[in-house]
Amino acid sequence: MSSVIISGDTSGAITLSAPAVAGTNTITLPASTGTVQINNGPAFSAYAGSTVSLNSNANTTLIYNVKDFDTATCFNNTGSTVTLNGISVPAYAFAPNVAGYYQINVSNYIGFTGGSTNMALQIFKNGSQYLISNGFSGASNSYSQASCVLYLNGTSDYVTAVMYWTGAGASTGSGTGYKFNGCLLRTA
Amino acid sequence: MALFDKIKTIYPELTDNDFSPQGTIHLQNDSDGKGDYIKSWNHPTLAKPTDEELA
Repeated sequence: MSSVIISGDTSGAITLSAPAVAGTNTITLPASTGTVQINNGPAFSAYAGSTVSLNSNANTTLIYNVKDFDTATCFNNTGSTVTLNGISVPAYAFAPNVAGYYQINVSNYIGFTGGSTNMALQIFKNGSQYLISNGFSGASNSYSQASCVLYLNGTSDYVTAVMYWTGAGASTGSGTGYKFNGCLLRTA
Repeated sequence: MALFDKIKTIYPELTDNDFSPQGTIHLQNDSDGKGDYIKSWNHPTLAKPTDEELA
C-alpha cells in the first residue's frame, strides 16, 4: 500500500493511503473551503419484542428491546437506566456519543376495540416532546409512524419514543416491524 | 386504579384535553417499572394533588 503522510504543524499526522487493489480510482474534493467529514457516527435500530400496556391519558415510553444493530452501543434496550459511553441513558433511549444532527424514526401500533379515542406518537428529547405525529381519533386499531431531524450534543442528550393515549385497555404492537432507529446525518 | 383515574376522582371537572400533549397536565410512564407519575402540572386553577391524596 502506498501512502502520503502530511504532518501537522506542531503535532499529529494524516496518512492518505491507497489500497492494494487493482484499478485506478479518483477522489475529487469540492472546490470550497471546509472540513471533510467521515461519517462513521452512531447508528442504531431496534424493534418491539414485547407489547406495552397503555394507561389512559398518559405518555408511555415505548419498549424497543431487541436490537437489529447498534454500531456504537448508544441505545439502551433495557427497562432500567444504564451508563453507555459514560452517558446515563434512561430505559429504551438512544444517547449518542457524537455531537451532531440525527435522523430519528419510530413506528408502532395501538390495538384496542371500541370507544372513541385519541392517540399520538411522539419523539421526546431529554424527556420533553420534540415532535408529535399521527394525531388520531377513532374506534379501532391504528398504525402510526413519526420521524424527525434533531441535534444531540453527544454528552447527555437522549431521545425516546412515546405514545399518548386517551382510552383504556390498549396495548402497543410487538414484532420486528415496529421500529425505533436513527443515525448521524452530520456532525455539529 | 390508574393515576389518571385517581386525579379525575379528586378533580372531576378535568377533561381529556387537560391531559393531552397540548394540555396543562402531563402524566408519564417511563416503562422502567415505576409506573405512571405526574411529569408536569401547570393547570391555571387546580393545585397539583399531593402524594397523600393520590395514595
